[in-house]
Amino acid sequence: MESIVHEWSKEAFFSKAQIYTEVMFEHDDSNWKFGLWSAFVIEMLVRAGVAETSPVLIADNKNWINLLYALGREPQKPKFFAKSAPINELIIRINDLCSEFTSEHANFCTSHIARRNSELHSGNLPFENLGSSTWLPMFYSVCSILLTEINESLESLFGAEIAEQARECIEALEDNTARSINRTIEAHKDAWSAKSDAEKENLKRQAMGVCLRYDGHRTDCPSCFCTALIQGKPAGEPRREVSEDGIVERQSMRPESFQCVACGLKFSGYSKLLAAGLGDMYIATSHYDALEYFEVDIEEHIRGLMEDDNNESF
Amino acid sequence: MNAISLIPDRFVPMSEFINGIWFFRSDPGIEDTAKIAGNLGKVLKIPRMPLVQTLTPRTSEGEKKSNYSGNFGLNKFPLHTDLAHWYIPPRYFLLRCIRPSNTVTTSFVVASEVFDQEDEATIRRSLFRPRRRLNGRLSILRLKQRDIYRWDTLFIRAMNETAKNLQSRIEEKLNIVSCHKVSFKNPGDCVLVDNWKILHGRSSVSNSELSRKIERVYIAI
Repeated sequence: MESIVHEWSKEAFFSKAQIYTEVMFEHDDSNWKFGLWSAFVIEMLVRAGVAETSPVLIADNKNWINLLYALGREPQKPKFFAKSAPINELIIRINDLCSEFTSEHANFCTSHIARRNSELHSGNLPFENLGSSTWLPMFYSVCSILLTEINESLESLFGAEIAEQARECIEALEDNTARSINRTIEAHKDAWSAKSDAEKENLKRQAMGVCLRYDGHRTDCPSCFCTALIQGKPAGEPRREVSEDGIVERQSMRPESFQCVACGLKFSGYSKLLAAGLGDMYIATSHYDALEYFEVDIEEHIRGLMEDDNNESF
Repeated sequence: MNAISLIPDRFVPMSEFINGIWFFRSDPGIEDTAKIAGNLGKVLKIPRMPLVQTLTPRTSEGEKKSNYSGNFGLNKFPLHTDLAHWYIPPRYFLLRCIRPSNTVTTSFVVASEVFDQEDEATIRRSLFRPRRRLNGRLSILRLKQRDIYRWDTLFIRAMNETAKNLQSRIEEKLNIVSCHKVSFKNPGDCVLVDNWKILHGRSSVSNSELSRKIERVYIAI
């Protein structure tokens, strides 16, 4: 019988990670808040992972009273505030405790937490304009390892839909064959260099004309730097806003294929896009007229206001 | 003499249709309900509550809003588990009839019959909290946590959308679920309830039944 849970227990940290995850996914992954909250999630999961062995390992061991507190004893010391170990110390501890958690994961956690500290303690904007492809797959990978450590799952943290996306991201990250795309990019770069300036200019103009926002997400080709197109698939529920002009629907899209009409570079598969540095999610924005969006048939509505159909007047 | 005078034909384990409630009869002459509870397990002292709590129907006037009488008065008490706002609520409680009532009933529902229809991951992601701080802190709670089921419409609050939706679905199910109804008709009638598995509630009380008196004791495993 316990009226409250120990604030340094695995359960308490994991629950907090769930709350932070929900706030994180209230934002598009291009929003700086998405990144900031992801750093809070990482911190809670690292703490949960360490607490899995014992909450005692959460304590800042500079003061033994913290250890007493971790054991569930209320220290009889006036003005005592329990202090946990700094997160960087806890990253070292989880690295030692969890065999699956490698130094690569530790480095990612340290740098992500450093971004968080920079966000909170300076005028810098570390999460602004930070492409999600540079950190999201590794974030999911770290989450997966830490969740396994505490006998939880990607589903229990993110829900089924995001868990599936997370798995795809992790697979893409681990797909070594995808890295061969960089050789293809280099080959196209060489072929592009061999073209005359006039030909390059002509192809560049053609690419500008062909690659319309309507057809996909415009980006710079990694081989020739001309405008190219990325096409993707929806990731998650679209966000809708009602504006004076109608309905604006913003849908997060995960890149699936790339095509450059200028140099002919073309490939598909998220893992290859990720390896090529083109894995950032993007937002597809659609504008709808309110009548069109809600499929309101205005003529039908007007007909409904008329008197009943009648062949003969009476 | 054993404090509990079990009368074999009145001892109804009811395990064939309900798991988590045991009915038996005690000697009405025994005054100390705590002694009977002590024979069943370790009696728990809940802070700021007497060891043996006397439950009588009360109108909401003058009652604290921190208890069911203060909120529901003589109306029906909704199904709930006791101290659902605690991280680990007491495992069992014993109810013992001191003054019976013919019309007032206590309802019981096996929590798993309602909660286990829900997806495990959804329950895991549905987060609740006590409506007020306990010892200055708030713990995050789940409706099913390990082998503990909890339910209370008053003392715990949904923290996220998943929890709000789950709460609505459970409420709907509880409105139509068939309850096992029991009335304490004789002094000494006892029921031991597994508070981690069983939801309970009380019917409304008419003015003629205000004398109903039940004693409650919390018991650990």
